[in-house]
Amino acid sequence: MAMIVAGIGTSHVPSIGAVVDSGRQNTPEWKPLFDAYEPVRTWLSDERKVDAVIVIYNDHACDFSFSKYPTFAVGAASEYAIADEGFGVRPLPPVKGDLELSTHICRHLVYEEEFDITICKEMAVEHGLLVPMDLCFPQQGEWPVKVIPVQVNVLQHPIPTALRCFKLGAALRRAVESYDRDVNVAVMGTGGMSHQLHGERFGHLNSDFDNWFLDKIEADPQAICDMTHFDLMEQAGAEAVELIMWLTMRGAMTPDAQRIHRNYYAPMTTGMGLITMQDAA
Amino acid sequence: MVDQLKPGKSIKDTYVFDLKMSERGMRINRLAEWLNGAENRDAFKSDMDAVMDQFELTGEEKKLILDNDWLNLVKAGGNIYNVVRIAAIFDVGLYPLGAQQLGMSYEEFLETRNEKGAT
Repeated sequence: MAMIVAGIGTSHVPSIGAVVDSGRQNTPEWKPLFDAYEPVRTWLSDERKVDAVIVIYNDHACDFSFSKYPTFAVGAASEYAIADEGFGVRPLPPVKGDLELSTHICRHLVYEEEFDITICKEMAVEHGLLVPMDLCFPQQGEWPVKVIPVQVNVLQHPIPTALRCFKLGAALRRAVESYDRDVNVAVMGTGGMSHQLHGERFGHLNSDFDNWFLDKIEADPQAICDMTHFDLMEQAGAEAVELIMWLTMRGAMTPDAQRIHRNYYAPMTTGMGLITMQDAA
Repeated sequence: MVDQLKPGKSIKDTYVFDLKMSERGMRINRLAEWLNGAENRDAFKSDMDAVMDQFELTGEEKKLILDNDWLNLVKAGGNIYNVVRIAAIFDVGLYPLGAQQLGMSYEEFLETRNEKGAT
């Protein structure tokens, strides 16, 4: 039987990808971030023995356009191309999919959970998905785990509510647990933390909020589910509303899941947060 | 219905990208999304007017792009990630783009950051 063996919440700040590509992980400015992920990588590969990861992320008007922008889109392919986000294609191998598990998840979400997702046979993936992969499952010629991409519209309002994102996580858990092959699955919620990139509020950071969020995502996710998008954007910046995707990870874990790792670093314009969890033994 | 965006209330200096903004910025956003390919970027660089005409930009929208007026491109409905794509054509990165929205020089903006080397 397939199992959820790990939950991860992490930022997906695009500059991290540029640092990886230019090998600057050990500079004084970036070491505090990358050092925090080292034990996470070991934990995921050696202890949790992750085979596949469901990545909850948002496409930044890259593979999808605002002309047709799916609220929830799930990949059902055996491979996902690396997208050109407007600055060239990063030197990365294509992301490997798990077609059979993806297919099962799509069927389960639509038939059993009334989540009528957009199903994508082709999807090019960008920093929203790739930066978390760089940090947690880095490639060395090929990626070490298979990926099920779950794309969420958090850019063009109306976007799904925080509670709906949490419920999607619970539905994904039931999907995984009803899959009859032995696969160790991690669920990764990505984005945030506090940041605003547009308007005269550019550079808005709220580290107090970010730390509150890290407390609550672990112990009291309902407090975040109760927030409106307005409240989240007012506190953490308009682009930080993508933090609702962390709730999908949390919804996939048991209520009493234990936190394993936690980190926070806010060097420039975005709070870079990390939390990992596993179900209580 | 709980309105997630609290009608009548606003967040200072914030232009939430809703369907109204998306409608307003449709031409700008379509052009910017088309820049997700090297050949298209080259075509835009070699003849900006032709590409802006192809996407039916208004005179005002064209001027905002040619003037590199990022703040007003946002106000005209350009989604920030698309404005970043257009700025990249002019070799303007995210942080200088942000500094301009704040009315600061890039150097002044960096001084406001916790770790200004982490660009």
